[in-house]
Order: sequence, then C-alpha cells, then structure tokens
Amino acid sequence: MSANIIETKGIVFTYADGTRALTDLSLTVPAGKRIAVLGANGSGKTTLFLCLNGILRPQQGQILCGGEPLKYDKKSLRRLRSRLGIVFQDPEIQLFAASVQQEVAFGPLNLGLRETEVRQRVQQALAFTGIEKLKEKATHMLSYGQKKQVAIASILAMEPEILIGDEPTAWLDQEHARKVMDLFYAISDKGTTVIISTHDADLAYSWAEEVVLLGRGKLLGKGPPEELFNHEEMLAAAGLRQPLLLEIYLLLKEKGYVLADTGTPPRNLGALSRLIREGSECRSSS
Amino acid sequence: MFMLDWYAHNSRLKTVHPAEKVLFAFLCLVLALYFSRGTISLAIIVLQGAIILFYLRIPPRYYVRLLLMPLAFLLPGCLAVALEIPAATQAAVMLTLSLGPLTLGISSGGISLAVNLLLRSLAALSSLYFLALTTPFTQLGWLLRKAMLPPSAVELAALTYRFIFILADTAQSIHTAQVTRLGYSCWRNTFKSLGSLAAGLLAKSFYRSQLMYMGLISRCYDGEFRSLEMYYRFSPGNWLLMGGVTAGLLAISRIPTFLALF
Repeated sequence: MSANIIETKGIVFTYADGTRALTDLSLTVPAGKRIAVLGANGSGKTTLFLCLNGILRPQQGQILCGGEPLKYDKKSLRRLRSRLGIVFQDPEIQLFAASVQQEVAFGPLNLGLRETEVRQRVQQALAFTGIEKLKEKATHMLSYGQKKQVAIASILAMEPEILIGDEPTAWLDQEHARKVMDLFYAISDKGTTVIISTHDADLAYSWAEEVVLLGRGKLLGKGPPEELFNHEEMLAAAGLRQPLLLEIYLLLKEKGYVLADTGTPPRNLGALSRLIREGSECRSSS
Repeated sequence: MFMLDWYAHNSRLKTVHPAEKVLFAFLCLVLALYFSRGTISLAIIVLQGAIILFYLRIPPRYYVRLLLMPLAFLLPGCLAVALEIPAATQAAVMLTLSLGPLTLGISSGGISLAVNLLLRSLAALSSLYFLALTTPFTQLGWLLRKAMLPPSAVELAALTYRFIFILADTAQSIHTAQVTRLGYSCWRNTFKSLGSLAAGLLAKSFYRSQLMYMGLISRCYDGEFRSLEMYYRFSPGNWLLMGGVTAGLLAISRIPTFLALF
C-alpha cells in the first residue's frame, strides 16, 4: 500500500451556477492518520469530500486512490465507495430505512456480503458506536444525536479504509459532540484513516494529527496542528482564529507563567495545567 | 396520526409474527363483513376494544378519538341509508318528513339496516386499528415481500412511509418559522403563509431528495434496496386463540335471529 491512501492533484470544481468551489487543490492524505480539514463556511470542505467519493467529478485535475487515478465507471466508483465512506453532516438525509438495523445493514448488503456476515457487521458497528439498544427502533423516533450515531454506524459497518465525517459535531450538544469525537478517535485507533471537516479551530487543534487549511476553495496550509496554528495571518486569511487553548498558552508564556522552552504547545487542558504547575514550581524554587 | 405509529412500535404484541396479527385482524374483518349481523359486529367491537384497551393498554381517550374520526363519514352515510322515499301504501313507515314535493320516511327496516351498517363498519375499523396499533410498517413491509408482492412496490411503500415523517418534520419547521414572524396572525396572512408553506415544502423536499440520493449512492446503492431478512416465529398459542375466537363468533352467528337484538 502506498503511503498516501488518497491524493488530489490540482482539482478544480465549479458548480453549474458558476460558483467555483475548489481551485487547483492538491492534497495528499497519508494512510492511518487523523486529519482535520479546517475552513470557514463555504471554503469547499463538503465539495472536496463529494469529489473524493466520486459523487462530484472535478472539471480539471485528478484524484488518486491508493496510487491509481480514479475512474468514473460504475465498477471503479463502487470500489472507491466501498473503501471510502462519508458520514454526512445531516444524519436526517442519510437515514432512509424504517429501522436502525435495516439502515446499518444497507451498506454491507450492497457490498454483496452474505447474510451472516452482514448481521455480524451490523452487530459490531452498533456495539462500537454504543447503540445496540436502538437496534429495533424506528429511525424517525430517534433523537438527533442518536441519528448521528446511527449514521456513523451505517458507514462503519461497511468497514471502509477511509472514513470521512463532514462537520461531525454540527448541531450536537456537548456530550454527543464529545461522544462522536471519541468515536472517531477510536475508529482511527483501529487503523482507519479518519478525515473530518470542521470550522472549529479548537476541535481541529485538539483532535487531529494533521490539519488541512482551506480558504475559498484553495489550500492555504497543511501540517501538524502545533505548527499550522502558529501562522496567525494564514488563519486570518481563512477567516479563522487561533485555538483558545493555544492563545492562552501563548499569553501565559508571554507573561512568564509557563516556561519559554517547553517544546511543542499543549494540545489539551491537562497538558497546559501541567506546564503551568511546572512553571510555578520552577519560579518558587528559583 | 403519528401516535398510531408510536403505539405500534411500542406495542406488547410487537414481537408476534406479523402474519398472525394480520390474520387475526382480517379474520375479524371478514367475519364481520360476511355475516353482516349486528351481534357478530358487536362481539367483534367488544373483543377488539377489550384487547386494545386492556391488553395493549391504549389510553381510552385516544382510542375513542380514533373511532370518532371515521364517524364523520360514517354517520351521514348511515343517515342516508335510514332515510327512504316511502311508497304510498307502505305501512311500516314510522316517521315522515316533508321537504316540498319530496317526502322522506324512516322505517324500522331502514333503521336496523343503518344500525347494522354502523356496527359492521365499526367492527371492521376496530379490527384494522388492532393491526395498526400492533404492527409497525417494517413488519408489514416484510410480510408484503413474503407475500411475493413486487419488491419495487414494497420499497416504494417503505420510502413513502419514511418520507411522510420527513415531510411532516419539514412542514412543521416551516410552520414554526412562519408563526414566529406572525405568519398566521390574520386571515390574509394565513392564506399567504399556507401558500408559501406548500411551495417551500416542494422545493425543500426536492432538495432533500437529492441529498438523500447522494447519501444512498455513497453507500454503493445501485438501484435496488436490499434489506436484511427478519425472522419471526409462529406461536401455537396464538393460532389456538384465533381458532377459539372464530369458533366463538361462529357460535354467536348460530343464535337465532329472534333471540338476538339485531
């Protein structure tokens, strides 16, 4: 397997009404990583995902999947979509079946798997997402957060190599948002490449191993979050701000509450409080 | 309307084989229609009512409301059956009503016919309500597929079922959005708002169906909706019970007419 599981080369996508959504976008996605595509509303995140899944076809440029250029015949698309699954932003549009079990079984059945295998996958996906007790429920009776979990399970059951989550925490309460992000973390732990899109710099900063910054359909920057979020002007160009945690850390560093040479900035509250403690211990001992 | 669906999904008889439930409902329906006798109809109304209220524990208020809904059609219909234009020599007319050149009369025969019709309809209705309150659509769809109906027809029904809820949700949210901006504050506004609600619903549904299609093809949808096989077990006890009910109703039908009320 090549190091880049999926790759775009200079793709351009313009909608029928003339809106240019993607401009000369070249991107490599290393296998097995947690990637956040960060951008403001209308920056082209969803369009990019629809292109990666072969639902939209870029007018120019090329998409490579596993090193091979993507073809748009039925068979190739089928193969692509069995390897790359999208959890759409609004679970309401993704769920069509009357019961949760049928919904989750839909993908695996389309892959042509045997019934016992399908059942096993449905069971696993429901267990993994922690919604086994919803199995027999009707999809229209679920809460929004539960619908989101079912949508994730329905993709997981297809066991894709790449899982894409389009704004996975949109409209979710804090607890469900945390659950969903933990879930995406666990999926990545299994070795699946996980890509999410978000406009939440805090979320991208704490969760991702690599951040891709999009602005008006262009690639503005790419790299590990500690590095990328140092470029304030780049973030401003994308219509975003630095993560709050990073801002606080930089402020504390400036005021001398944390040591200046701590290496990489903290990615979570625990790491920051440890740095503050170390800083205060250092000051009291000197 | 949607409560019906909720009760079906949370019914005590949900796990019962769907064919048994359909059979029981249709058994009562057919017996009521076939015998066309008040006693049989009454027995079925009481039996189904008892099951629905005491076994399924449907709130009486709700069940009464369910029965009252079709009465709006039923009562005028029965009234029309009861009224007749009496022949001049007819003796059995109890009451006559003159409307200009037209004379309408009510005879005891007409009344018993109307009451019979009313009871028969209520018996049929309560049998169907039994089915609706115990069998969610997923099970009916499964049964229809088993009954060798064309798969595309069953899928269409299933999608329609799902879309009813989406459509209702969408309409509800548009309505709310309009109410918060005084869209229904007077007659003029009400008509305007209702019009734009209908138009908006169409546009939104179209948009939504496109998105849904994307969701489907991203999961390798190829024009056929496959669904997971479900397994239900027949229960001998239920068949015994159905046999008992049939025997009981047949026994009632043997009661000579002069002993029975209707």
